[in-house]
Amino acid sequence: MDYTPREIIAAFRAGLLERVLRSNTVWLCASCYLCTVRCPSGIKLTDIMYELKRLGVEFGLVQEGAIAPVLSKTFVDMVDRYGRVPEIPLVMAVLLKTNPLGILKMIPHGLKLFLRGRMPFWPHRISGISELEKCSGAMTDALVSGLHPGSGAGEEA
Amino acid sequence: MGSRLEFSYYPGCSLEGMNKAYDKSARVVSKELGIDLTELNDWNCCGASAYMSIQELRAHLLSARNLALAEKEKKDLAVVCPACLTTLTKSNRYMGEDPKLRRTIASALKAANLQYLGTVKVRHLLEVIVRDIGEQEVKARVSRPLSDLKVAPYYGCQFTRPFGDFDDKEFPVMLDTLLKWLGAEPVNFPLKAKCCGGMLMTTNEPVGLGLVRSLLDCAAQNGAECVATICPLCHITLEAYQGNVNKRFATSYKLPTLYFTQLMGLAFGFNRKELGINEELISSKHILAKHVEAV
Amino acid sequence: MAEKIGVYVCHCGTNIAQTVDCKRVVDYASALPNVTVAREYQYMCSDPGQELIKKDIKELGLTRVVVASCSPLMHEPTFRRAVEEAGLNQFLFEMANIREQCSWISENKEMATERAKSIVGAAVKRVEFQEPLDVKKVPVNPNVLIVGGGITGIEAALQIADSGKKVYLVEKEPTIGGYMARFDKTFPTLDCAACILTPKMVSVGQHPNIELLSYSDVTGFSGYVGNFTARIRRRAKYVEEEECSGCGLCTEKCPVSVPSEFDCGLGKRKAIYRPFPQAVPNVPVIDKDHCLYFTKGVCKVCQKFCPRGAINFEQKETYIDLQVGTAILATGFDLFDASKVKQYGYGRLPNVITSLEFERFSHASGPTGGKILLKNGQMPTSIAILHCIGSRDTNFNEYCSRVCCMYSMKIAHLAHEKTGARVYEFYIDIRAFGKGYEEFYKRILEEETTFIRGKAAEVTDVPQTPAEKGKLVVVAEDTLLGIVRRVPVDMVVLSVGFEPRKDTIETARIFSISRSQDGFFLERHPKLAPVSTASDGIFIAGACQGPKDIPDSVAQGAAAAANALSLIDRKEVTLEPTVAFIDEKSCSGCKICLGLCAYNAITFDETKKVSKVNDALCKGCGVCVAACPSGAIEQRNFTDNQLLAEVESICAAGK
Repeated sequence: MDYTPREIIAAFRAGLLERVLRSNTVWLCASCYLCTVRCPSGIKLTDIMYELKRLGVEFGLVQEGAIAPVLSKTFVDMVDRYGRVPEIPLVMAVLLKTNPLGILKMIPHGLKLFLRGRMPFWPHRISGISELEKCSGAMTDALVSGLHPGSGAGEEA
Repeated sequence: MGSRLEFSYYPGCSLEGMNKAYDKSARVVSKELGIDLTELNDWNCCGASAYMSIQELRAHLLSARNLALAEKEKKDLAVVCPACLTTLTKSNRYMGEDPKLRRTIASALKAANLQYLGTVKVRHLLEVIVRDIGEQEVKARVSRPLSDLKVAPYYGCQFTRPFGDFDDKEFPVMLDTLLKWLGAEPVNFPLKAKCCGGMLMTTNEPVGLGLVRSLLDCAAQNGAECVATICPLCHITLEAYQGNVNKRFATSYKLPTLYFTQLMGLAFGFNRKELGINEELISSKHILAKHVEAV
Repeated sequence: MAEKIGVYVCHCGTNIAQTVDCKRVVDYASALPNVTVAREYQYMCSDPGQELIKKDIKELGLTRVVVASCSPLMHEPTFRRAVEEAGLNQFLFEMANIREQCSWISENKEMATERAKSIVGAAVKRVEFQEPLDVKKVPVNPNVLIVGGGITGIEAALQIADSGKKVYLVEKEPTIGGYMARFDKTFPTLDCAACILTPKMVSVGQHPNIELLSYSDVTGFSGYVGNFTARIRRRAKYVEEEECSGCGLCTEKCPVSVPSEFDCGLGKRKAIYRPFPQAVPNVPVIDKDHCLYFTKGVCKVCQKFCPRGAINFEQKETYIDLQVGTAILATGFDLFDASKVKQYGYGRLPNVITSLEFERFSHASGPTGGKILLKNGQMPTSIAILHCIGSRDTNFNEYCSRVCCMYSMKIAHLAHEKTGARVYEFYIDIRAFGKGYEEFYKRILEEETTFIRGKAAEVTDVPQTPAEKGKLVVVAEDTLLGIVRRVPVDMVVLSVGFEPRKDTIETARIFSISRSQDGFFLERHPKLAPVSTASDGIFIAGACQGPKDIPDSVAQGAAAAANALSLIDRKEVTLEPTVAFIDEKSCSGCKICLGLCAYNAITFDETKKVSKVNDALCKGCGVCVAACPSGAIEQRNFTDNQLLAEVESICAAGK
C-alpha cells in the first residue's frame, strides 16, 4: 500500500486526502477487518476505507487504471438491475471495460468451469426488483428532506 | 426466533452459479442433521463489499429488505457465505445502534410496505452446526470417518471478523473442532484466518496471487492433503488459481479444496455426486481414496 | 426569641462579582426577616473577611451566620472554625454556594443575580432551623495495619515503626519482597534489585515494632477511624516459625518438584519451599496440594531431617483480631496476561516470553542461572522487545502502565550485556519521565539498540523469505518511514502492562473503599490527596493505586506513613455529628434501614424492637433517612424542617 492506515489518518488531519485517494491503498483494501479488530483506539478503519472508496468514486479521485472501482460500480449496476449478481457475467463485464484482452486469459478457466456445469449464463432477476427501486427512491427523498446525512452519489442533505 | 433448528436459508449470489456444490452439500448435510433450511423467497443480493464501496445507505437497504423478509417468516437467517454474514450482520447491528439510520431505512422500507423490527439473527451454518447441533449429534451420523485425512482448516476473514464473538478473531477453532468430529486431522495452520484476497484476484492479480501462494505454502508446509473452506469466494480463489500461482512462482501446488459441508457429507456416507465434489477443479480422488472408504 | 442572622456575600475576586451583582444580593438579604446585618467583601475566606464575621458575632450578638460564597467543599471548615472562635456553635453556620452553583454556570448577569438571591434566601430560612451540635472526639489507636509486604509496604512499615509506633505487616505470600524481589536489575541506575531490597527486608524482619504476619490475609475489617478491628487469617505453614532456623535442609530433601510461581513456572520448587533464598521470614512453607504427606499420607522426609523439629503437620489455620487506628493498603498489582493478545503468539509460539520471564532468566538465582536461553538451550542472536502489550488499548486496558518503556530499555541493556544479540524495540512513544530516565534512554540508544517506531502488529512463524525460516518474525509498520517491516528474530519479549490484582474487588469490599474506572483503588483526590481514600483512616500506596515505578511507590509508601502518623499524633479525631438518628417513638421496627446501610452502622435492639444508629460508624450518607417509611430517621443538620424551609423559600422566590 502506498499509504498506511496511520498515514491516511494523518493525511485526513492535514487536509491532504486527495493524495490518498489517488494512491493504490484505498482499493487494495479487501475488508479483512484485521485492522478494526486490533486497533487499540477502537477506530473502525475498515468502515473508513469504505468511506474513502465512496468519496473517491463520487469525486472521480481514484488510482489511474484501477480495476476495483470499475468492478464495484458494475456490481452495483447489476444488483440494481437484477437484484442478484452472478460472478461470470460480472467478471466479463469488468474485463470488457478494463482489459478486453484479459478475457482471453480467462478462457481456460471458463472452459474448465463450463465443463463441470459451473457456468451461470443469465442473471436471475428477482421479482422484488421494483420493490427495491421503490425503497431506493424513498431513501433519496428522505435524504433530500434531511433525515439522514449519509453519503452516496450526490445525495448530501 | 422460531424453533432452534428452523432457519430461513440465504444462499447468496455466488452459490447460484460457480459454487452450486456448496449449496448442494449444505442442504444435504443440514437435512441429515435435522436443520430445516427453507430458502428465503425472492432474497436479493446482500451487496457484499462492492455495494458498500459505492453506496452506504442503499447497501444497508439491501440487507434490510432481506432481514424484513426473514422477519416475516419468523425465523433466523442461516448463511453459508461469510461476506453475506458480515454484511447482513453489519446492517443489523448498525441499525440497532444508530436511531437515525434505523429511521431512514424504516421509511425507505415503508415504500414497499415492508418493516424490520430488529428481531432476526444472522448465523453461519458452521456455527449453527458446532454450537447448536453439537458433538454428539454430529458424531452419531459419521458412518464413514475421514480417517486422519490431513486438512488445513481455512476460515478466511469475515467468519469471525469483525462481529464473530463466537470464536477467536485471529485463531478460531470451530472448524478444527468439527473436522476432528469427522475423524479428520486438522493440521496446524497459522494463516487459517488470513485474507485470501477475495476480489483482488480479479482487480489486482499480482497481489492476489501472492496471498494465495502464502496460504497454499503454509498449508503444504504443515502437511495438509487438502484445504477445507467455509466461504465460496475463498474457495474459488484458492481452487481456481493454483495453476497461475505455480506459473508465477515456479511452484507445484495441487491442493484439493473442499467445502466443509462436502467433508461432512462424505463422513455421513453420501457420494461425490450428491455433494457436488465431481464439479471440483482439482481432483480429490486420490486423497479421499486413501482416507475415506469406498468413495 | 427571634434569631439574629448575619449574611456575608463574597465577591471571590471576580469569580462571583463578575457575574453576580453582589450589592443587590446584600440589599435583598438585608430586607429578609430576622437578618440583622448583611455585608459584602472581596474574599470572605481571608483573615479580614473572617474578622468581619467574628466582630459582628461579638458586637451584634449574632445567633446565626450565612456566608454566600464558594462550595462548602472549599471553605466550610474555614468559616466553621471562625464562627466557633467567636463563641458561636459551628453548626449554626450555613454556606450558600453562589459560585459553583451560580456564577460559574450563569452567563446572564440578571439571571445569576436572581439565582444568587434565591440561594441566599433559602440559606437564611434554613439556618433558622439549625441547632447546635457537638462534635464527637474519639481516641486514635496508635497501631497501624499495613496490608502488603512489597517495597511500598516495607517503606511504610519502616517509617512508622521507626517513629515508635507498632506495625502489623500482613503479607499473603510466605515472604515479603513483592515483585521487586523477582527483578534482576532496576532502572535507571541498574542497581541489583535484591541488593537494595534485602537490607530493607531484613530491617523489617528484625524491627522490634513490626509484627510480620506472613502467609496471612485480611478477611474482615470493621470499625471507624482510629478504632478499627482487623480479622487476620494466618494460614498453616506446617512449620513452626519460632523453631525454624532457616537452614534449608528440608527443602533439599523433599522429593517433590513442582513449577515455581516465583520463577513464572520456568523453574522448579519443592513441596516444602521458600520462594527465594533471601526470604523474610526465612521459614519455608508446605504446599498442601503437592506434599506427599497431605496427598498420599507418606514421606515426611522433611520432618525426619529437620534438626530443630520445626515441622508440624498438625498445625492449624488460625484467625486473630487486631486493634488498629489506621490501615495502609499496599497490595500491589498483577501483570497483564499476554495470552489474551493472540497475534503475538504467547503460549502458542516458542520463545515468546513476557518481561517478567526475561527478568527471571536474567536473574542469577533464576531457572537458567542468569543466562538468556531459547527453548533449544541456545542463546538468542536477535531479540525483539514489544511495547504496550495490553496497555493503551481499548480492547484490553485503556491506561498507560507507565513503567514499561523504562523496563523495556533495561531489558534491552541486559540482553546486550548477556547475549550480545541484536536488540530491537518496537514502540509507540518513549515515556522516560523520571529522574535520569531520558539519560538512560540515550544510553540505550548508544548501546545500538534499534528502536522502531511502530507497535508490533503481530509475531508470526510463517516465513516469507529464506532468512525468515526458523525465526519469529515481528511485523510492524515503521511509522517514521511509512513502510511495513518484517524483522526476523530469535526471541520476542512482550512488555506487558500492569493490572489491578484479581482480588482487588474483594479487598475493596472488605475495607469499604472504592476503585476507579481502571480497577485500581480510588484515591481521595487525584492531585492533592493521592494516598488517602474517601474512608478516613484508610490509606493506599504503591501500585495498588495505579501503575508506578519503585521511586514513586516508595514515595507513596512514605506519604501514606506520614498520613497515618499525622492522624495518630493528633491523638484524637473528630467525628462529624451530621449523622442519622432514629426517633425511637416513631420507629416501627420494620428493619428496612438495616439492610440498606453500606457501613453496617445500624443495629436492631431486640428488647425495644427499634433500630439504632451507631454515631461513630454512620457516614451521614442519608440513604436510611430517605428509605424509612415512618419518617423516623432524620439526619442532623439535614432535618426535614431545614430542607423544607429551603424548598419553600426557593419556591416563594420564584413567584
